[in-house]
Amino acid sequence: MDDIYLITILSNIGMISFIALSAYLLLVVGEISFGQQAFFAVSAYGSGIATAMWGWPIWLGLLWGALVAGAAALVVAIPTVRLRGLYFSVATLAFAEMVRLIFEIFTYQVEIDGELVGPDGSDGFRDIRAIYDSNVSAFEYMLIIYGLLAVVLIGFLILERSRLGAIFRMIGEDPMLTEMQGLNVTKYKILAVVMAGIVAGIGGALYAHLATYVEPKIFNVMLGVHALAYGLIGGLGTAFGPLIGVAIDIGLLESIRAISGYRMIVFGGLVAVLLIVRPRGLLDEAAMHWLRGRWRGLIRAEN
Amino acid sequence: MLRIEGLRRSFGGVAALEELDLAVADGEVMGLIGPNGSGKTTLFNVITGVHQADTGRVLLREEEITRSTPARIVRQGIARTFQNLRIFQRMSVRENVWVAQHSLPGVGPMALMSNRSAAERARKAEVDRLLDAVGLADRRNVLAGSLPLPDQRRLELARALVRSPALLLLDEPAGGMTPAETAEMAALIRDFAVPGRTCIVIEHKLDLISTLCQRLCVLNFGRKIADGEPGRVLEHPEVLEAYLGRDAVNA
Repeated sequence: MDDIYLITILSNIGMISFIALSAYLLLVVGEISFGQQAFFAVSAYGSGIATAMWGWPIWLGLLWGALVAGAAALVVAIPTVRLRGLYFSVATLAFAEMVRLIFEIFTYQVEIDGELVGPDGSDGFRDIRAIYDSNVSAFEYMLIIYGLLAVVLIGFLILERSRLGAIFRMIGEDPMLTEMQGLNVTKYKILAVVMAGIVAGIGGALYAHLATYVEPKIFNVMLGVHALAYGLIGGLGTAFGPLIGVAIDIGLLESIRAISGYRMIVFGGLVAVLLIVRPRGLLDEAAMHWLRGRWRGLIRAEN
Repeated sequence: MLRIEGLRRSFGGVAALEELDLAVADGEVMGLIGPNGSGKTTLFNVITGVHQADTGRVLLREEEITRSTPARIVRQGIARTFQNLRIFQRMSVRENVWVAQHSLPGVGPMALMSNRSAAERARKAEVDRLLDAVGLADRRNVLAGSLPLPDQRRLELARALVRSPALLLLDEPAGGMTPAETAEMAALIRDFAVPGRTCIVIEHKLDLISTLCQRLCVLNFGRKIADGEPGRVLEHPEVLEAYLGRDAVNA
């Protein structure tokens, strides 16, 4: 196994982790979104346009992509968060397919050094070359991916200990009882959808610049379904849950060549078995509660 | 404190509340009884905005709250418990009380993200004080869903009290409890929950009612059939009939 192969796999795990965390956040508030790939896509295009066409520096392109994804999420959130269950799922799926179809016809090109650059409908968007033009190596880019992932993950861990994180879990368990604690459930659900959109957007922007090429069909519903499955495998009790799901899928099933041909069979089977045995994933709330209790006990024993 | 005028609410063709008028004075503790389906819980649901009234008005401290959302009504100073227990099962006992503080005045965006400030420490101390008072201090780190039923009722009481509500609505606080547990709960409510606030208690257990209430109101088919001092109300012929049936009264 050569280095570049390993770096590619690790970079993929990192980028997909963002969309997994995005879907996880909505699972925590009790909603199943089949549409997080839309925010991944919007940011991939948005950040690519910013760096390749407008000549923005890469860090600004990433930030822009995440913000555009957040804005798109706000547009989706306002009409859909009052929907519950299946209705919310169908609405997000419809939105994501709409976004994909718009990119199939979206053409916006400018001439740079005698060549046309920019999204060209179903032919996709080529030459998003910012990281190569600024001589960032694949290894350095992987460090950027994991640096940003660490920042987002720390954000999630802080969130989980905070009142805001508790509000999200309350809504996930019993929205009416949450309302009865004096909280405006709609407002906090919109916040969760926007935050999830931004997180997916960071992944999409990173993806566009590593691949240098994006096309609409990459962002089909399978990406969103995988994102959901990662949280359901790894567990909904902690933000580490979806990351475990990504590591199992991409790190094991897709990367070990002997079994990669059976990936979807193993992955689908794993999801089906876990939904029966552990419906809220490996690290569910009860497991995390137990682990935290053990941890507190250890600290007490140390003192 | 609370005034209800001409309140009506029906589900399909069935009237759960019909032209109900009721006033509860500051500091009063009123028992609310009536046979199953007489509209007691529906009344709580309409007061707290879970259900909308068809007609009529609900006023809290002379301010109309009839069309308000549950969240806003709670913030105006009403807290309640539920007949069929509603707790956050996937959270710890302590978290279940802590979460009721999220919308208190003074809990701003900073407090929603960080729990390090002195004000937040004081709020945590208040949670522990309440858990201690209802006898759950030693189980505060247990998952709430694993508590036995009487303890879940105590937990609901602590969660309702953490907001220091002006009006407390208790829906069968001793439901499913043994006589000994009921007596304990009655004492807890009398000595700890009730002092300094207005309270309406739905309960079938008359010993709890007689421990707590200066006043008793009886509903039947969504109408008020008696209202007054408990001893007198319980001898009212319509009340006896509603509970025991006409034959038993005549016999």
